[in-house]
Amino acid sequence: MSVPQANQTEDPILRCAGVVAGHDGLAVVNGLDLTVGAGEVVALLGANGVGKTTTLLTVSGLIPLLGGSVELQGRDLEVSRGKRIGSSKGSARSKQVLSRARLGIAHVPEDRALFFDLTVQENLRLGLKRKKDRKHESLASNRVPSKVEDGTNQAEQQLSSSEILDQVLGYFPALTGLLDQPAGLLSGGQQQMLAIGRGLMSQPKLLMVDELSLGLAPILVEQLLPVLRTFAQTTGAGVLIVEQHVHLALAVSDRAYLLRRGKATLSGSSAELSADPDLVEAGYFGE
Amino acid sequence: MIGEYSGFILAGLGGGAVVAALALGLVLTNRATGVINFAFGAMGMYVAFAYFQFRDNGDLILPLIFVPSRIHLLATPTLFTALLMAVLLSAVLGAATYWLVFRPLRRAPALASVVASLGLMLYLQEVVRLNFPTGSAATVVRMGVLPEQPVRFLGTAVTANRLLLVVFVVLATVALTALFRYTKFGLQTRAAAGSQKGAMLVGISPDRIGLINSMIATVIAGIAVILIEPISGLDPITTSLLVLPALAAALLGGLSSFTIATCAGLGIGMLQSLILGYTVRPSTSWIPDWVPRTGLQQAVPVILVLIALVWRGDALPDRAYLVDKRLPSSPTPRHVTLWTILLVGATSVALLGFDAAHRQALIVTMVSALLALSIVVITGYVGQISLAQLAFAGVAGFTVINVANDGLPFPVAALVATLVATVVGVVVALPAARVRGMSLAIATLAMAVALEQLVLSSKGFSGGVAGRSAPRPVLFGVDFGISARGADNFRPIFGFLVLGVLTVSCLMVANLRRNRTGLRWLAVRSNERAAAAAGINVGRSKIGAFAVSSCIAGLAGVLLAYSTSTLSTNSFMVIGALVALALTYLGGIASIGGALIAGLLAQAGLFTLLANGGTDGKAGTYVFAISGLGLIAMAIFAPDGITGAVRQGAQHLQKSLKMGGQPPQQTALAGAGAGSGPGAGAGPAEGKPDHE
Repeated sequence: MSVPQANQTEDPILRCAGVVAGHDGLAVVNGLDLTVGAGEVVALLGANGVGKTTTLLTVSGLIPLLGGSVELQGRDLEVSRGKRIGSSKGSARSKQVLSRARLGIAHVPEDRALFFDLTVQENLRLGLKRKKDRKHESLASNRVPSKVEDGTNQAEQQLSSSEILDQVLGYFPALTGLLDQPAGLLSGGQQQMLAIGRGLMSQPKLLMVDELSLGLAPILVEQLLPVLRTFAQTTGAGVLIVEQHVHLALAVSDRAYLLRRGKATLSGSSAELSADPDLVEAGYFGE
Repeated sequence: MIGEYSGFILAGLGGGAVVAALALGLVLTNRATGVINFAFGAMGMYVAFAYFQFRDNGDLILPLIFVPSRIHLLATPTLFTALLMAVLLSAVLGAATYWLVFRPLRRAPALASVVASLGLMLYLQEVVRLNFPTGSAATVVRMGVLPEQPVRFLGTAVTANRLLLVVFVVLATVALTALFRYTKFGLQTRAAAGSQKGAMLVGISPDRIGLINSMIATVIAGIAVILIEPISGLDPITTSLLVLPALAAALLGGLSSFTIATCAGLGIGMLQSLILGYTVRPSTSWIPDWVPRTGLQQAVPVILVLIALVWRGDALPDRAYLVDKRLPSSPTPRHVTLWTILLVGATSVALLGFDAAHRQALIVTMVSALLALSIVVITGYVGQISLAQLAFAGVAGFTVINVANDGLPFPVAALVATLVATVVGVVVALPAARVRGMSLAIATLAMAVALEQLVLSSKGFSGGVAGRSAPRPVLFGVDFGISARGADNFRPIFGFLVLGVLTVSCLMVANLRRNRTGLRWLAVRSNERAAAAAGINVGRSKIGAFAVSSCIAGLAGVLLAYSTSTLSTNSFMVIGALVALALTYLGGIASIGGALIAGLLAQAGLFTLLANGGTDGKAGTYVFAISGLGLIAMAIFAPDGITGAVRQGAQHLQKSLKMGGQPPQQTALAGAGAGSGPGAGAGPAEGKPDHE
């Protein structure tokens, strides 16, 4: 366990160091270094097949880490559970995912993984953390780095479940009228809102959204992406997004990483990157 | 008039209640784990055996082989301690079967869970037979739980235990419905059923959900079977098969509604009792003599279920069916000529060289392989689980005997019988155009039960219990008959006839598999919606495959008829159909080689003869229990069957020979990467290098 440190060197929300990961033991991500700071929105960019989705799956524990380390606020996620690295056994895997979800990682996967038979409200309720995890968190909340000056972060930890629901519906007012609808009957955009909303219900420290824009109208994407930014800024959580639309992603994020062959070949502030489109293009297509 | 039958209706409540209780458990496990457990009746059966043993003398008998299984726990067990023991035992049994059998099969196709649960059923039946004192029933006094004195209910006398059993089932239904609707645990269970990944990502453990639910389900099943014993008795086989009407009831509830499942279960029980009451009355003379009365009682409810399933079904599956599930691989047959020459040559030598006992086993093997081949076509190639293949064989077998005895010469009679089986197969296939997966398995099972009970058991058709005999097949003056005196019995010439039919059938199937028909079948198997979108007439493909497969099954039935001195209905019981499917799976359900191996493994085939010979018959004691465990292991670890395992081994060997000094591990990784389906979201596409 790391000791609370001075603000200057405080642990970022997420730190990936030399991460090697992939499917069936075949490395796709190969030595990726990446950090997501508190209150920051970070975009992962890159062509198809460079390992963006794989990175998110590895962070949430759905696929095993083959090498390197993943830390949430300085806590090594893989080793802290006492499982050997790369263990892909079903039950160990499921334990990894569960413990990470409970530690505060919310992952909205590409397919959104909604519960289609359940209503919108039930889907959201399932996103809530267990009471004992919430309690645990508020005890440890002095360790949660916060960019928020007025200390609302602390108060937020002790919200009742209905207050959390109201807060999430505040982000996505469109869901308010649909609470009793089965999730399977929602439109694509509404489903994406629900998937992100379910992630927000857990008051995560790290929210990861994979391909938010997949199958959605551009106008909807332009409405949804800023919500992530608002969320990061008001709660001090970190947000990591994977996005195909480079311009949209750079517009909403603070920093971005460009992946190529499983490594980050380019990284920088989003403002810098948008100012130099040639550089990004070169990163996509090779020199 | 109605009053006359109300006694029968109420008497059927007991049987209905146990069907309903098992249906409840099936719905519960399906909702929690997505698995359908054919062994559910057997699990309840074992718990009931253990309960009565414990109640009698305080001994707990565990479902284990090769280790001491009897533990003396209490000197003077009471009703309370015995019931407590039964509840704990069923909870442990539920947990163990979930963890060891059904959890690994969560994402497997329906067929794998059918096979694994058949293995479990076989194992539990054998364990009860081996570990519990059976035979002379006096060894254990079965003390019932509920009072048995008659009470008046709705103006009719009915025993109290029937009513209390219904109360138990209704309470269980209400409790489960409330649990699912109003509790957090219920919400989590419904969520985990909807999306396993989503559940994990929000911190729900699917393992915990599955474990608890299968424990609850097994407790319900165990108690229900204990309570029904004074009414219906307790027997390893009959009690295990109670799962069939229960599955029908559960399917009517869409495998998700507790209320409908319970109502359907009670309804099936009452209907069976009512039919019994109606048919025993002398005034019901309009039912023709050839209809077996007990058959009617068995067949009518399943036929009603069948109609309901077809009515509820749809020509194309909904999206829920498109979950990525790995099917057994079906390689294109290669080196057909070489294999044909090798196998036909070896079999010919064997037919000429073997003694009578081995010739008999070889003939049984070939006939069984033919039946397995019919399962390969319909289940392996087209993905339709058919449990009616043995019934088709039965229809053909008795038809050939009847028409041959009426004077039709040999090859014509055989062809007519095969044609009849094909027609019956096509009729059975009609529902298959609308139902699929597990529902189709049950629909074909319903058809098999109907055929067995109404046609194959009919005295006029099959000679009833006594059976019938076929005349000797003679063609152009050559006698192909199987029997002869003494050591000449099981004549080789009949063996060559069977070999000829088997060879032609295998070549025909290999050809179909290699041309466009085979491609269409595989397309239908992997995704009906995509196949339809690609212009394939899904319904016609299925019916065509059913025709081919039932034709082959018919040939097997004809040969079976000629190979036994008297053919009886017992050869075509439903349990035999289940075993045939399981053996074919064991051999390799999607390849011709698998059918041949299934033939070798068949009961009284070459393998059992050799195994028994090698161990002086001692292997026989445990052979069923071990093959039960083997089926479970195969379903989990080697879904491609024995042929698949051999093929993989050969490929490995080939690769490591080619690689020479290189470590074989890398090739294994590469092979696994290339062969995996779309994984958790990202898929193997991520593994490809990006474009230059």
